[in-house]
Amino acid sequence: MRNAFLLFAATMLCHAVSMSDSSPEKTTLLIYDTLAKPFSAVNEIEPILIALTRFEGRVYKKEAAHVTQADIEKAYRIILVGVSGIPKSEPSCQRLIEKTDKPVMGVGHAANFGQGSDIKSIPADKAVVQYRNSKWTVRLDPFFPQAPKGAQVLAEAGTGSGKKILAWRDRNRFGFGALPDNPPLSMIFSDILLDFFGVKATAGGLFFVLEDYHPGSDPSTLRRLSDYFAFQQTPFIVTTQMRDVPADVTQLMLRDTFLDSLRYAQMHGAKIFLRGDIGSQDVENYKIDGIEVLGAEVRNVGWPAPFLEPSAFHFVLGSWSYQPIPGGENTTFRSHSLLNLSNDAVLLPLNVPGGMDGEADEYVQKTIREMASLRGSMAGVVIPAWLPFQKMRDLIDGARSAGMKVIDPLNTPSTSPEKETNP
Amino acid sequence: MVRPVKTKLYLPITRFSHRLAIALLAVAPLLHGVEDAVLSQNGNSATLQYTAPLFAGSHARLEGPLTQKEFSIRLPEHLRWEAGSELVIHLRTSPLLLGDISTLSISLNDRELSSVRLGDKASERGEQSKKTLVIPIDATFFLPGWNKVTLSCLMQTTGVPCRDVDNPAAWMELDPGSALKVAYSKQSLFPEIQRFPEEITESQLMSLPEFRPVPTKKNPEAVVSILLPWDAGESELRTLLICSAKLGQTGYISPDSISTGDLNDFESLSWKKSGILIGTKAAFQDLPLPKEFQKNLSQLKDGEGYIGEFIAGNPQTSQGRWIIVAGGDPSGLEKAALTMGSASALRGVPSNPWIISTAPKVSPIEEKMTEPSVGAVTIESLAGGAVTLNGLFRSNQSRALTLPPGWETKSGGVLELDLSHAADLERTSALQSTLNGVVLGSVALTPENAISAIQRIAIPAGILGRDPSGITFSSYMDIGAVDCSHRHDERAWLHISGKSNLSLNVQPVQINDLSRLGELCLRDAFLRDAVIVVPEVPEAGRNDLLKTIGVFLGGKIPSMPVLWPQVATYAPGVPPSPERIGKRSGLILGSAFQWPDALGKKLHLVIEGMEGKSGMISLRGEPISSQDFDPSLSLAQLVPSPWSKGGVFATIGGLNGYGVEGTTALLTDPEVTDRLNGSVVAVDDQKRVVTYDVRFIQEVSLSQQLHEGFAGGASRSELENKKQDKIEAGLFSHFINKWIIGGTLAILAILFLMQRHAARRRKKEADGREL
Repeated sequence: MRNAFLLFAATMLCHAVSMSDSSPEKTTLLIYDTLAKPFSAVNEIEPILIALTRFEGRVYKKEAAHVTQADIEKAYRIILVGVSGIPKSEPSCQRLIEKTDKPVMGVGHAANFGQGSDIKSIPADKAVVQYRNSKWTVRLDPFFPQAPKGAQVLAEAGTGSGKKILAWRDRNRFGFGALPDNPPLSMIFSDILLDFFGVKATAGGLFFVLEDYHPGSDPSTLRRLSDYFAFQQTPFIVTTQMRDVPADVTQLMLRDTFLDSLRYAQMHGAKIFLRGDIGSQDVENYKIDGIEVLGAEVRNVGWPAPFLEPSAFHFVLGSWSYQPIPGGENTTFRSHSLLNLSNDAVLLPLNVPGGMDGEADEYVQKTIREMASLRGSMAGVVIPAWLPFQKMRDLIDGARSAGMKVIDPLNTPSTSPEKETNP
Repeated sequence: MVRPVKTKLYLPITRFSHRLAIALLAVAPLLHGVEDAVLSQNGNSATLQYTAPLFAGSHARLEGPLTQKEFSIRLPEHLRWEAGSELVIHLRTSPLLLGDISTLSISLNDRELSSVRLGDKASERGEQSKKTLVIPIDATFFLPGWNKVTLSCLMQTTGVPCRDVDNPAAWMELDPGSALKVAYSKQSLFPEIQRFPEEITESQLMSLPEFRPVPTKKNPEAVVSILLPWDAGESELRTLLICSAKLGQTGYISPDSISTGDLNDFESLSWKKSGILIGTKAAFQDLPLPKEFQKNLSQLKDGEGYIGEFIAGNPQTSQGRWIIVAGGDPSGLEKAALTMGSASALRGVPSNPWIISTAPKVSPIEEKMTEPSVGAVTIESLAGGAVTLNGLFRSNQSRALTLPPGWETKSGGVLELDLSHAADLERTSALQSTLNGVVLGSVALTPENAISAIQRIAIPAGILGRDPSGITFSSYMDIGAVDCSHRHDERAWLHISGKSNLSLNVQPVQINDLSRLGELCLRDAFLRDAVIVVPEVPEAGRNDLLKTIGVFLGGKIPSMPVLWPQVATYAPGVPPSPERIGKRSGLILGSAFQWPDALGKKLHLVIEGMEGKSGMISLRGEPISSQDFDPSLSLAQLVPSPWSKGGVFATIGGLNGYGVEGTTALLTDPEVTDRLNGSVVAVDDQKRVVTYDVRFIQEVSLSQQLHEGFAGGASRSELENKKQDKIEAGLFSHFINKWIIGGTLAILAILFLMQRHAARRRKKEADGREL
């Protein structure tokens, strides 16, 4: 049965052409169908690629029509993604995929590897997804709830027409019946990838980031916050810059006052990250002033944005942004885990934005609780530097109460493929 | 250099934690005695409410057709604001206000809260209109620290356009009970030494003495305790003085809110209040401190200072914040004390606790704060720049400048104003300038000086520097008939160009008599030139008096980042150490019988206890029994420093002790300090003041002056009247003397001229005979 299903899946894959000069070596190959909609590559494929960087710095994608046998032989794992339809490659490639012992995952249209000739999406507006003893209400569109018989059900979705299978596993074959473009689906998908990659133990937790401390901010607030974190023995990150002060700031502190406050924060456990356009001279200048810059906050990576350019920093902090329309507004993809970048840097996620009112604090706690139920989740709580101290404290206390362990994000091992154990 | 110490930062007190837990449950409600209501209870967190009255005193008044009043309220930062806060305003308005036109708008921190109409039907009947407004406030409207409630009124009594700011019928009064009721919940404390002293004093903001109910006003419960060993030496006492001065800088803490005591009191106080523990490491051996702190303290080396902060108690009930200021030895303790006295050093505190091996230094930038602006200073170089006063009737603006304590103006200074103003102002319009509250002069705003006119105002000598110093421009601009309901601010304007300049001529403050007793310790804005000389033997009142002086001095220089006053002790045969006295000026505390021990036997004081004659004091050499005087009497006399040229000291104390009450009044009570002059002064518990000046010939002896001044039954006003009569008699005799001398000189001149005339005639006659 399994062989028949794999054979069918393989027949769906047609002619393969290498997309880039470098071929995938011992890494993951993402094969997708010929996209019918203009921005599907950005909207549907990029998020899956980003989720995969949790495990590998470099992931290769190829349109099914261009995939070669060599690509499949060199790949360590294969993910078939069907956005507009089933990805179809050459029959030889399909046979190879059918026979391979490598882990293979089908996503979206390819969730059941094409088993059954006329699979149709059964969208559900408010499906209650149950995964690892937690429930999320999500919109599933498209939704392909088919799974081979005997497969282990990983996630189920309660819809108006009863419970349906969202994700399944049959030894080293995996299926995910939706397109994981945004949380919480992307989080569930990412968690299933842990099994797909055979990663057994992952470390995760909660960390805090004071974002955009600049010369127009309040130095006494940073000092109080530093005292508070020091009292709780909690390391934290401060992202800072001196160049781009908001136009509505009426009073700037003296440079010495600014640097004094940063030094104070550093002495009390803050890890200083630079924000915005950063040059190596900036890092040197801060160093001269007694401030050790340990990383960078990066926003607006640009389009397409699968990987960052080589960076001087091992730690990069940010949401993963991409532009649905080139040159347009960036959309943020919020990872719930640490990501490995192509340049060997590590991306710490900024995925829990704090705000001003109580509702925002409740949202923060809810988001963290959702993350806490998944393995190796990292919740990067963003504390805007313009918040009054009391609001910061409310945000911190609320986040801590959500049941996630506070960690030092700079001492957390990444989920790299070297640590995996393939089934 | 500093050596940070790795620690867990917070450790609960374990040794007596069980006893504490039980005690805390019992006394928790007492700890925030000012909270007047529990609004809601949700599990462990309760929403409480405390009342911050808008003003001290019986009422606040707004008058004039178009008026605005601001009430500033400082809120503590260790609380969490909750829903349920409200502003309550009890108001009475003039019965003549027109209900259709007169309005009141209320805002908090420039966010509008409400607007209401003033005047109602009751007004039509000629009755006062009374209203109570209760305005709910969202918790997000509050700011940490200072909050500003603004009342803006339009009060019109007639339907015709108004123009008279002094219309007595346009008034509104706020009655007692007008207050900001702040809903809050308690939050657990955490150490934040860098915020000293606010971190330890701000709970006082919830119960300021002037806002307390009358029965408890005189006996406020102390919120901060300063504990030191019973045998405290110079280092401990100096630390006490420095810490008190820092506490005084907050401006809202009174000496009564700080108690001093023995280190052994710590165990019983730790859960009740916050405080400061002072001593060398040996003094802390038996104290129930958190283990980590105890260990670090015991390992202190000689010459090392130590500052640490821990939180005692339970967040759910009450907590105390305690700061340890310690040293391996006295020199180490002084390093810690100097660090406590330096805001910039505290801002760089690297760890908790913090071991200090090098005393902090004053940076060149800080040093600049103690020096006055010299030469011509343009207005545009001051923070805020050029001044534009805009608005009908009265408005004012200030610019801060550097004229710190320890300096005063001397003649020759000038304020040169380059001003322009609206040309059609009424003739009553004027501009007034003041420097540190002293009026420099006024300029009438006329059409002739409407366009870029230069006005020169001489700056008088003798204006004392203060912290902060500032020049204020107040205008009264009237544009004639105006409909007050439509403000025409843009028609009433005055601009003082940034090119206007202030040329200050300054000199170090001259202290020639006791009218400047309060300036004695302020000859340097960082108090480095100040020394308080106290008896070595611990007596009741000594530490309290030091604390009071510290708070007083700190309150005089609230923005100075460094406060390093010195303390020296003396005893019979043991004069104060020259290193501590140095070239300083200051106060010598103790009784009249102790002063000679401090100043040495060779220096004969105007008032001093007589050696070998029990109970006899010498008043300008005249022996008098001390029993002849009221025991509550406190005396002060000005003496040149026997230790350095230019130094000045005031001995101050009672006949048989510190005379704490009188001494405190002499230093801090404006009712008394405003009446001080001469070189000798005495004050009793009724605040009757007698002054005497030994530099001039006096009608009566000092003892007679004192006897007359404090004669039984003579009230303060009678004494004042007597004094006034004397002054008037003096002035009259001066006037008569002037006429007598003038007349005598005139007669002599006439006689001389007559003699010369006669001589010439005689000569002419003689010459004629010869011819």
